[in-house]
Amino acid sequence: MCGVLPHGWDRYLNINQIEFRKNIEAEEGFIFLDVKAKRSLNFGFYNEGWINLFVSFWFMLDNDTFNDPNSTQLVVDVRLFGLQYRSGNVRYVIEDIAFQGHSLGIDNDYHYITSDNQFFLSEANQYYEVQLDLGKLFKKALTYCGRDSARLMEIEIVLEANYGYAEAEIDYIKIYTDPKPNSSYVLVNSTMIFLMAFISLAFIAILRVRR
Amino acid sequence: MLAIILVVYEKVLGGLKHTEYPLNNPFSFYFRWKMNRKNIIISSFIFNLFVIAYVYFSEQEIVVLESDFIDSHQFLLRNDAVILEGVLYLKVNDTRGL
Repeated sequence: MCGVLPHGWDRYLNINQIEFRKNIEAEEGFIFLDVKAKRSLNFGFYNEGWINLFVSFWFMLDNDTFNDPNSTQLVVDVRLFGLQYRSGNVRYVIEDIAFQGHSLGIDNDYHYITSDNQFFLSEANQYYEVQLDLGKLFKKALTYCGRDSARLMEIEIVLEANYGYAEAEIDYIKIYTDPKPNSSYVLVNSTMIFLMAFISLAFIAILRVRR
Repeated sequence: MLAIILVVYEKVLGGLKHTEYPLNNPFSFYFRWKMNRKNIIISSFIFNLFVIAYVYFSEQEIVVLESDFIDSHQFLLRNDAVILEGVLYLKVNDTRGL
């Protein structure tokens, strides 16, 4: 983990706490995740359950109550790999899952589990290298919890198993912003600057004409 | 891109309009440019290109975990997570079903 978790749980160093506004930063072409990873052959189940490897992004929805144990924040789990064992069948989990709270009752947060590359890590013992566009995934999470913006506070890599066992290796993970020229972030910001420059110059022009 | 815009501007729109200012004014060069609607739009657009370029090249890392992170300790390790030769090993075992 790296960053600050909500509810006063834990903190370790700090990350660049970017404010993600829906349709601007939380949109395609702004923030990316590069990852190289592999899963081992040592995957299995003792009973019906699931195994997930994901990168979690904790967002602050409310500055005043972030450390409150009962507050509601947002966590987006970007699934790198998901397996489910049910009714004798093992299948890859690729669909989005959203819920509020936790089965163990330890939080009241919005949880949004999502995927971008369903074939990632499909073969065991083989390194996969992929780039994920996180902005559109964050946008879906913001839409789910009905918020227009959220501040990124913490990032962690999680391998979880429910009635199962698993091993995975991460060679590297890089999370970075790299705004593309056709992204909403660039278009909105440049349009705002354009309007400001235009209004300023027009104002100067009017003053000069009157003089 | 900027060159194309300037050429189009000069050839199609007629180029910059100049006002009459005394040449003995050391700042006259800067004030010759006429503040008409066309010039304002074009200058705003050119200024806008600089903003686009700035934003486009403003890549910034939020957090990186890679082979050289052993010494930098960018992540706090929990449970069965270990780092060996620059690779993060994760292991989990939920034995409740046994």
